[in-house]
Amino acid sequence: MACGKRSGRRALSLLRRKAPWRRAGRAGVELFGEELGAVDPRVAAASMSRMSRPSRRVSIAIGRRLPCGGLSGAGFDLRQGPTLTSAPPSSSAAEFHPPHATVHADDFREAGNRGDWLPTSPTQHFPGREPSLCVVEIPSPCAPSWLGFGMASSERKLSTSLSRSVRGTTPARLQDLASTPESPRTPLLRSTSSLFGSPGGGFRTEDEYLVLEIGSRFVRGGFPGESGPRCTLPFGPDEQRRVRDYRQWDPAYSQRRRKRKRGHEWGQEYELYRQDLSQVDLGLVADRFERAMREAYNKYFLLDPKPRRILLALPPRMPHALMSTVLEVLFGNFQAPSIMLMSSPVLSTVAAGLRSGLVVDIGWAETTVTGVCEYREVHERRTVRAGKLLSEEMAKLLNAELNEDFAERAPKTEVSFEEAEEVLTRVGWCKSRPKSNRRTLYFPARTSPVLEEFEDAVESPEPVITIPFPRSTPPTELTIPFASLAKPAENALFAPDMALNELDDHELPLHHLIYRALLSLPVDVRRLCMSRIIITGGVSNLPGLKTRILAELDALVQSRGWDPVRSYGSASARHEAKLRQQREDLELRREEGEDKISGSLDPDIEPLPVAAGLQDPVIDPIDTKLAHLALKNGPPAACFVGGTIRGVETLGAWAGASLVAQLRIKGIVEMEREKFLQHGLMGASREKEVSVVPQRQSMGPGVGRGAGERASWTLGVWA
Amino acid sequence: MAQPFPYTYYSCDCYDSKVAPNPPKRASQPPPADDEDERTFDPRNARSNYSLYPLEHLLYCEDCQQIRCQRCVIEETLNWFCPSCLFEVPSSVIKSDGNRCTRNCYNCPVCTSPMTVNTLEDPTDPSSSGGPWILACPYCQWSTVEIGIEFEKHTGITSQLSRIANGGKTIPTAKERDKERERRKEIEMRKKDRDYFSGSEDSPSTDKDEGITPSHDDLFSNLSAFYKSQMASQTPSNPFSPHEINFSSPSSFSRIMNLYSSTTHKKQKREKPSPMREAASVHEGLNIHDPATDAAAIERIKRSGWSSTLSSSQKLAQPNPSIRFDSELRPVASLLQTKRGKRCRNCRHILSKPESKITSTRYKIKLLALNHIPRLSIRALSPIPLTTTQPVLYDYDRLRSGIPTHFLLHLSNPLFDPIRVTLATPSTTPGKIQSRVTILCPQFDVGANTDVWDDALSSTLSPIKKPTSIGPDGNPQTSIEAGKIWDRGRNWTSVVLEVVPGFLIQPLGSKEEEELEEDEDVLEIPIFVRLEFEADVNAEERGLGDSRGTEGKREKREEAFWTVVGVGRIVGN
Repeated sequence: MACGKRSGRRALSLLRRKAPWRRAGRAGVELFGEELGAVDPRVAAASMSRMSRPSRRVSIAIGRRLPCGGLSGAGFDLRQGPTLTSAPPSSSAAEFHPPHATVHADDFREAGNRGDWLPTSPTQHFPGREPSLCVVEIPSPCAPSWLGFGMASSERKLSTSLSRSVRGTTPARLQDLASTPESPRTPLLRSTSSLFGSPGGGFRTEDEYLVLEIGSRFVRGGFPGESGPRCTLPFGPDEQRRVRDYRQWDPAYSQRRRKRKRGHEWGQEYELYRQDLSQVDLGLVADRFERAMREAYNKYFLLDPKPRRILLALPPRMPHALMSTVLEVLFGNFQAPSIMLMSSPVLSTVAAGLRSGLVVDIGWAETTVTGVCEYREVHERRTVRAGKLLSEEMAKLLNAELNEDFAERAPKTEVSFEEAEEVLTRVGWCKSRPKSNRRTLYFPARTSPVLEEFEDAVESPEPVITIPFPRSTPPTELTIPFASLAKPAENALFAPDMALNELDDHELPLHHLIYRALLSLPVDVRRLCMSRIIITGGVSNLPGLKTRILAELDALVQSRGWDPVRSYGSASARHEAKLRQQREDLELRREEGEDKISGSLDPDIEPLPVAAGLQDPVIDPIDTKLAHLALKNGPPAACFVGGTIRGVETLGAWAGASLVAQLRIKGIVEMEREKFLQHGLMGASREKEVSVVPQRQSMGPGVGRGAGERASWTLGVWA
Repeated sequence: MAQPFPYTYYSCDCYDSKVAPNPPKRASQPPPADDEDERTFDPRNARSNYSLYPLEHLLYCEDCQQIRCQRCVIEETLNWFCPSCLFEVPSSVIKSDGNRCTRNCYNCPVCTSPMTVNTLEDPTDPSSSGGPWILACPYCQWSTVEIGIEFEKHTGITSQLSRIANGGKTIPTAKERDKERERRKEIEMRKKDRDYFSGSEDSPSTDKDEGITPSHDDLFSNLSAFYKSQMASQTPSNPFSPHEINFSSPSSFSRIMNLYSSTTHKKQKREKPSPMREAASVHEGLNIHDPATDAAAIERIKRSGWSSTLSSSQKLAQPNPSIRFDSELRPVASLLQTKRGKRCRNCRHILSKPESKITSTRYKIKLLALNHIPRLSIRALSPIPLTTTQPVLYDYDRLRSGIPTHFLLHLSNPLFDPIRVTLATPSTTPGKIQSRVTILCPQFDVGANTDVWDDALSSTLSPIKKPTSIGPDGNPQTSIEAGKIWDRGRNWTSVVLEVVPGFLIQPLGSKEEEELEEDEDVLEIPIFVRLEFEADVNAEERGLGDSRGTEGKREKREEAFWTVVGVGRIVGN
């Protein structure tokens, strides 16, 4: 094959004319330049010679002069080695979705107009071995052109349109591939490989993210890959003052106790928003949020002027008006090019290292229990027993104690929100073992199993804590028994003094809420979730609280089992009898199992026919072998733990978001600035349910680019 | 407010303009939104705190001809520096090392004052290096000794500190951690193999935790490494090097199979990507809840009480805000600061740009509202004769309810053109205590800000009218007339404002239990200011064109904004 550059060029121009898929507009061609070696002209020659016969497989010996990188590149799926795989026969050209191929050749450059094609990103070096043989399936007319042969032409228009499509290249959609059997195989994981395997130098600039988490009282912000946020900004009255109002640093002022504003609920001044928007001035929310974000940007992020994308962790239920307020601030005032929303329970799961779990977020206004299965929210329940109630209880306790000391002579003192909060976060705690209060566990009177008595050992002398109150007039100190500091948590979160039927649906005690959430999950999900209980949220830092919740839950499960029927009414006796029978059977069988041999040795006793479900399974040697294999190759056994109550610590939603952004995983909900400013939240046109597979794909290629061409976006769980 | 009375705030109208176009957004807001034009500014509204600024804080965009506040500018960072050591930090270091000073600048975690590096050298037994060093707070006497940290050198505190955990143990670096993780993985793999070959049934999850709970950072890096490895196992580690094909990875295996068989690939395509697994051990970032830590924390609070715990502001200042006890404190490296240029949000013109030298406080560009907006100020018109030698200080903190008091509104004009001013105010102040307010002369002219000597040199200027007259006792007597200005100078005019402060407690039928809230007794008057003037068309040449300029085209301009004047605090009679 002595065909030189000239004939190759002629072939190229031939091919150029027959490239029907070009009109499909989805193809991307990227031409990398310079540093790679020259393409062997024989390749071009071979392709030319086979051109007339579509879909013929060609084997070409490629000389050692050609590094494999020469023919392939970011899009070409180099994982397939030096192989250029398929392209479609001309019939299915519209479905064909070629990867953006990278071809370098000096002669291409010569063939085309110089400067007509711009390398879109720095060329990569592929220090791989040079293959001596590769299999090239040369597709009929179009292939060479998607290799870039056609590109180096004089058609300037084409090059611009192509380069646009390069930017918007997505991996082929699965459906497309499935519907056209002969379609070229764009390897599915190509995208991920190009992401995690090689840093595409060109993308790096555009996917810098900021990670924000918005709660009702704090906003956290930082950068991906860092273990903690750069800043945690509260929303107190001190953050709401006018410019040049410095009174919070006035010693006289800070000594004074602040009064609650008229008509304000407990702690209302300290929250950014509340779920009930009827009393919320959204403009004010925007103002406060904007100021906090400005502080974060100017004081903590210290960014260069380049706009950053934002990964925003939000609670999964957020009123749309509120969301759009927040988004407007971020898009409008902070020029974020795009914002990706992720729900905080899922991120908490990520930050715990799990795929599924029951996320108990004890926040400020309410506690939400979210069942997460395979990174998806499957169930959610909520109660108002959370931080707000807790700090209000603490304030009540402190008021009572303070007023007791001062007897009648002084007017009644009322501790301020800060004081209650301070006491709560510093010395508040929770008894880690439930008391033996009958009503705590809500046993039906007759069947209550005898639990061991949890009695707090009475210490002598009783430990006390001295709390200073510098803000009361005169400054005072309160000495309070240590045990009583655990009461607020008890009352606010577990409500031991109230029977369950006195409570409303929205104020269930935590352990009952968790129990019910578990109960309403499907059995298999429940099995996963119950041993992955992730307790997070601000209040969860209260010492002893996590242990307590888990203990209460365990007791509840032991006493109730997983029976959704709470009371059988008149039939309860029968039901209990049945239960007892079952338990006895179980015991019996266990005993039998232990001394099976003795039983079988006794020929007189006819073995009772055991129900099929209760019989010991027959052990299949192949199964065991498979199990061993799974043990060897598959995930360790710890990944399959289930069926027992177990708590797992999480690093928090922010850390989860940081991990996700670091790994450049794309969320379902991503909105572009332009589109949002144009349509607002109403622009979310895609349906809520997005199947897993496209979602996985969207974990996609060079992250930055996938979003660019997304015509529509969805609000996901927030829809 | 905390500012001394009297004071003036200017409202930037980005407050209105931003909200107005989206009425549906505010549907949930309780007060019915009446006409935007009709609405008077309410300084008591919580939102007004975000739109009121002192005049000195405002910039002015000459192209948009509007006031620009902090919210309606775009800021861009020019350079970074440490406020404590005044060293400039390049932006690449910001990216790699974060937003804190990496030199020896530390703040006390207890009281936030800057810490100093002190030596612990024993004078009787001097060491060669100058002895162990510590960071100590000169204000509250806290030092790193309390958390068991001593340094070997007095320089490079940051790098030393990053290697020492509280209590003096060394923290492994990221590399060491990675190595350790690898080692553990190896061990586990080997164990697994052994289990497989020996056929033992028991699970290999015998975690030896060494009794230490991993720190937040450890967990995070474990988790991050775990996720990365899981992601990587889906794909060969480096797709571009063919010799590194990982045959154990299912995806690469199937791909290799695909190469040689054209029929199987359809089935392969449909297969879902195999999910990555969960973290299984501490070294992968899984942290099982341990009741012992809870119990330990409770025990610790019980033992050491209030003083060993941290206040919320101390916690928030820490790099890791989830700590609880004072033994976990770390010295806080000082936050870097930036010099930032500001641009108008609308037209992107630069409004202010500081000099890039750190120690310089000068600006290259600075378009202040001070130079474009008349300054409005207020002071009491004291009824005491002006001739008394020693000025009598008016007590603005004690305004008497129900007694009409006169104040002087003083307007000075920074522009080089004379302006015509119209003032407007609601007749009663908003809020709980309603005071009656009257501006005696709401419309008047203010002279141009010409050169001081122009006054003296040119005789054509209209003579300044003095509305004072000589009283019967020979002192200048105030003659407060409605519709007349009080006094006027070269570029200023003052008018009289009459205020009848309201009553703190409503005389009739008020409920006693309603106590006054903070700042409800402050008398603040919203005043709407509207200016009309003729200026040169070209904004750039304003000021210069004044002297030369008859040929320069003039155009009529107007400007309007709300101000809030803080007069004083009302006390009951």
